Amino acid sequence: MKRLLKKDELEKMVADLMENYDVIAPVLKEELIAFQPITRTDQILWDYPNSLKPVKEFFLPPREVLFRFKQGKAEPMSPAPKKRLIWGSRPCDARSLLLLDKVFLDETKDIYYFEKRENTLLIGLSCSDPQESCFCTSFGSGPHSKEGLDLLMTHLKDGTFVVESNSPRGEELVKGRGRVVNTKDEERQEKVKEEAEGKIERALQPDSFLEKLVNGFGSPYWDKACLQCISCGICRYLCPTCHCFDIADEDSERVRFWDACSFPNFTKMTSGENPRHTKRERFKQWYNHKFNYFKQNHGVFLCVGCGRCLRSCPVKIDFREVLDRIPAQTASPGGKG
Amino acid sequence: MENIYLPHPAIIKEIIQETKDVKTLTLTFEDEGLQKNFAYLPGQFVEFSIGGVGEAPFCLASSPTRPGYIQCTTKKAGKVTQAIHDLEVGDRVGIRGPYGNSFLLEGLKGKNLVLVGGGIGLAPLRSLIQYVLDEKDDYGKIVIIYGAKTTEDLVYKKELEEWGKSPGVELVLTVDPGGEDKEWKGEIGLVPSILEKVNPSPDKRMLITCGPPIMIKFVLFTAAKMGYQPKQIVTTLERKMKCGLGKCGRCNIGRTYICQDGPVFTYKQLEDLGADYLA
Ligand SMILES: Cc1cc2nc3c(=O)[nH]c(=O)nc-3n(C[C@H](O)[C@H](O)[C@H](O)COP(=O)(O)OP(=O)(O)OC[C@H]3O[C@@H](n4cnc5c(N)ncnc54)[C@H](O)[C@@H]3O)c2cc1C
Ligand code: SF4
Ligand code: SF4
Ligand code: FES
Repeated sequence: MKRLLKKDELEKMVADLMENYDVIAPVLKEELIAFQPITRTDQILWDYPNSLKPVKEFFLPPREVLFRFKQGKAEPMSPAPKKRLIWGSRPCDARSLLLLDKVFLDETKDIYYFEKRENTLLIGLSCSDPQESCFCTSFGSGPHSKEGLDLLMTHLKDGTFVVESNSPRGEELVKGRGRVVNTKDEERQEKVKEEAEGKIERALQPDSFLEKLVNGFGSPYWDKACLQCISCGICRYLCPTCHCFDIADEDSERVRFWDACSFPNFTKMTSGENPRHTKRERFKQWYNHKFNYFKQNHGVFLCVGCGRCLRSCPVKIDFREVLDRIPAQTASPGGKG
Repeated sequence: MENIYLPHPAIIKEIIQETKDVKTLTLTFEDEGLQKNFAYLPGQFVEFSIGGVGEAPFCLASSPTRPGYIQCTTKKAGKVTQAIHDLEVGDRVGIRGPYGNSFLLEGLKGKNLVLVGGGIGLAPLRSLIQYVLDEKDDYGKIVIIYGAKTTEDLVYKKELEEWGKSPGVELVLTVDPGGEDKEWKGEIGLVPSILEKVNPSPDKRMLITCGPPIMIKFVLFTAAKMGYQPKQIVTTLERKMKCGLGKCGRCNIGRTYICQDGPVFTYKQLEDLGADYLA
């Protein structure tokens, strides 16, 4: 169901929802755009390029206590947060959660992730101004995609928004607010959508990445391609789909932390042996995980095209170019490792 | 919903000092129901946890054919293993698992076996040996070749004697040159060369090996030279592991997660995995 709401009606809606939900929304924080819990609706940004950090952290926090030990017994931390609502998430970030679901909600469900997912409603805001570094349309998403969202809001640029429900929970939130859209509203929505999609200039061919990665696994190309990378891990941490973690004990707590495949310790064993002992291997792992292994294991690429990795890389590595330049060559024996 | 990271409380029942830096711990789960229902197979591993110190993966060195307890054999190597070595009988630890695949027991059924172990790599093989000895009718003749650096480094010393005396079992022990002492009656030489010397025929046989990566590498080559087909050779791989559940992302070789799809592989599968499988 689609409804048309004015901005003040949406603000009223948020204010009402704040009574029952912790509302997380994009705000300006020290000149950066960040999702964080809000207390007033006037904190919300309504027009913004995507946030620096994805909403991943609300489901897989950078640091999360799993257990507290008492007399050697592990007591699970109650994973369930208060009912939450993420307001204004971009469609690419919503899609990233569907990809993380494949890891954390497979047959061995991760209860910490599961409860946060269950307790969180996702209200999306269509992108009207995709950046030069965005390419969500190449990865099955789009600036107006509803996938993974409970509601999608699309600004018609005159202070009114088409609000489209995409789940029963979403429908419940918007029921009775504003008015039902008419054909004219829908036409305008379509136009905004086409305009936005038109701004995404570069279309990638992810299937060609897969092929190149498989065939070029043993290529000397990687010796040079990795040189520029300083292994800082920023691309991994800021990526909405990177999910690797470490588990370690701090005093009497067992804690899960984000980890990254760019660090030597990620795979280094106590014996000193390290299966990915050079930067080349670690650099390659990221590309292969996203555009090769995950695709083979789950049928989709582990990327939503948000562009954060290339916007934030301190040495300006553009992964699209790294992948594009893999030379086509025949597979070397054992080239799948 | 089950909490997949929850370590289940277990009590140390016995500690056997195998060598200077290797101990075998016998554990039972505090929850009797869990102890009864804890089903596992040789080749699988657990995450062993000491609250406030950390977790580390160890293979199950005991066999499900001997219920009532589980055993792990651990070598002192770092933080968690040091803490494990400081434990005393009666202490409480945490166990979650079992994880991973197993020694492909169906594929071993009806076959002759040669088990080739080095150092503490005998631990997972011990599980298999006990299993096979307890289910003797399902398997053919067994050759066990086991080596360590020195006589002091051999684990399961008492049990080795028992195995040697079991009908249908040929036990060959070896130590690296210089590792022998006056009483030593076994072989002297590296495990792969002793394997070649004993020369168990590949006819209707499976070869299962576990030990340091360098030993495994040479055992694989030697076995291939002796006429073993890649699908007749089985080994276990070691990787850094944290979750054991295919989520933390670090133990993969290519698209294969060793914690779930392994740690046991045939040589044939390893060849398909790619070049860098042995660290
Ligand atoms: C499937 C499997 C089975 C194993 N079976 C045995 C066994 O039966 N007996 C035995 O003595 N050892 C075994 N190991 C090796 C053992 O896990 C490491 O020696 C141990 O993790 C070292 O932990 P630490 O805290 O003492 O070392 P530290 O170097 O202080 O800490 C390293 C931490 O990294 C993590 N880690 C996970 N996997 C490894 C790994 N493979 N190597 C190093 N660190 C790792 C652990 O959380 C560990 O606490 C096995 C490893 C694997 C992967
Ligand atoms: S790989 Fe880059 S573009 Fe793709 S989802 Fe991650 S940060 Fe976004
Ligand atoms: S952000 Fe750039 S430099 Fe840092 S690890 Fe990623 S690719 Fe390398
Ligand atoms: S140990 Fe975490 S993915 Fe294998």
